[in-house]
Amino acid sequence: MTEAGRPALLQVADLRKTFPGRRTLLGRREPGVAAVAGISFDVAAGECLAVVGESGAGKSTVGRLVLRLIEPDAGRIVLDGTDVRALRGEALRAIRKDVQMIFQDPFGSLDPRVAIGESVAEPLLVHFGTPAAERARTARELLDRVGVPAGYVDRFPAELSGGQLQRVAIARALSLRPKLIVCDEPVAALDVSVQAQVLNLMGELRRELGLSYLFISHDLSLVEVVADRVLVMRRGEVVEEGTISAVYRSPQHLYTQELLAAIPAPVPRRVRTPLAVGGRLNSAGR
Amino acid sequence: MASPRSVTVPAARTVPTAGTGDADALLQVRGLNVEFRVDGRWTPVVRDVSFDVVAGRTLGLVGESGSGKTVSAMALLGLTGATGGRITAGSVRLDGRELVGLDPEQLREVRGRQLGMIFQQPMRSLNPAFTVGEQIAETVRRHLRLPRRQAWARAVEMLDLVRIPEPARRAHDYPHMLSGGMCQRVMIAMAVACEPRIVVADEPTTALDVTVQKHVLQLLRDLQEQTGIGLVFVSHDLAVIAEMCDSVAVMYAGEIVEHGDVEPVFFTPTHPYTAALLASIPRAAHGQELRATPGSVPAPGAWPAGCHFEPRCAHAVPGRCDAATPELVEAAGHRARCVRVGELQLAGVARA
Repeated sequence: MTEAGRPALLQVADLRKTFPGRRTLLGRREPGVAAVAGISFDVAAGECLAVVGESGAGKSTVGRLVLRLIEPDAGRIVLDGTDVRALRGEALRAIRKDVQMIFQDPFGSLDPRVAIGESVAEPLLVHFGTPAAERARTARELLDRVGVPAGYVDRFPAELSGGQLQRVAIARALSLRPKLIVCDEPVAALDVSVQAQVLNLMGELRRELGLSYLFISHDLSLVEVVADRVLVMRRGEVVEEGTISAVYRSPQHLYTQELLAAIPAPVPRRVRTPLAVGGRLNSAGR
Repeated sequence: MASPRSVTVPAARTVPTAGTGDADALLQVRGLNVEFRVDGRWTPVVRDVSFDVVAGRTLGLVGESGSGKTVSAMALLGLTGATGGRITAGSVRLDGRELVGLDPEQLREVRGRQLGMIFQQPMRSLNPAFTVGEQIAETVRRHLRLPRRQAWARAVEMLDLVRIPEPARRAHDYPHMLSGGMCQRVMIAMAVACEPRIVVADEPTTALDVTVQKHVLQLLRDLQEQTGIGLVFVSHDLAVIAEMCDSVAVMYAGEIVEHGDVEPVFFTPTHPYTAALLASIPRAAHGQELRATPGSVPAPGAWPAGCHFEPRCAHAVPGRCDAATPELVEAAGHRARCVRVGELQLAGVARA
């Protein structure tokens, strides 16, 4: 259970993953890197939990472990009461419908040779063998829901803008009616004015469909707006966890304080230094 | 076209501001038009861009992808031809010398001595096969004509200047041995090693972590204070622009739409695009729904006939805004390219 009293949709306990080290010239392995060093968290139904951290913190690895795109070394992943790690074959495929993913680069996550209508409904073919006519109808509905004109079903990814493609990726993720979407930097590749469109869409869908998000991002200012709770990661460990308002108002861990202090504010600094006259460099070689 | 206005210094300010037409500007860009080939046809990508860069001051070029900010920066570095484009109108004057029309060899000389550049991907801008010390020393040897030993000493001195610890030892490192932040420091060292008058930094911290970004920005500010470099700072990030710049040119679909000192542009914007951009910054929203602008930036070749922002603008008036491309006009101490300047009450960011 989470503090709000809502049942946990996803429960992760003591998750670990170490990637093997490089081989040295003599063929020995260097010590591995603990990308995720024993972390635990819950995501409630309808909740948006953000995982923030700098590059190398392990936040993307967490997302991939939850999806079992890579196998954890240890730990428990329980989705809706089912231990995901114990599943094999058909049972694993079945539960994968409940967890979908949106990646940073929409150009890379859609097949450039497949029309977007087909891409959107492809998961239905893979999981249910849904016939073509029904897939086409679903694709049009989903595209309409994410604000892509239904006339775009026959277009190819190269004909769409980044923001439109990310909407298509969201429509595709929704096609299997998932409970949880793992979003790995979903707007990092988009322009600021388009970022807001996509984030607002994701917020609407969450409220409407009761979706949960595991929202992975390096951008703390973005996370403040979209998430309910936040995990701050550093070198594979969670250094701080809490509600957005608690963590942003009174960060406890020194690293969180450092991160928050480093975010530039969009307010012009009004401290102006006088113009330098004949500085150190300019006096040297002229 | 920007006409250099008489230097009327605001009461609160004792130094000339960069960017709005100073007679003593180090670099003057006027009426710049740049074209690139799009699907085999020469297509305007930047139109009527004018700005000044003043010694010791920072001008920000801010905009989304397709705004023309990088193309403008490349033009003042004399790299338009090298990147496949052509300048069809306008001038770029550095210390009174016209750069448009110089041959590639002359431009190389100007770039080496008077212009420095820093790009987004430091790893890709450095040669992986040479140590960072060799790369800085090579630049110094070529452009300052220093002998080998002195050039190496200069390289170490530069690494020290950009606060790389143990510079004499680090000079022997190859780029892959350094972190992204350290690589960007090396790039900065290389950019300032020949004592340029102007440094162009194109998204210099976009690839860096936020805590590293903070230190690199501080380093750039300190270097500018020490050397009086005129800095052109290209970024999509309004918060970084607010922190770094004295003046700013907001670009949209190939044009400067708003231009002036950062304070009036951020606090009292007069172009709807600037206001929309400011409203979409998460930090400014503070828990409230982000204000999204519908649509996306039109590609070159697909620019609207009237105001380029008109199809997405919440304040557009049919018959006025879609008729002709507006000129930049004076508005509340800065300039905006909007026919409705003076009619609109637009919100900027709140003062801290």
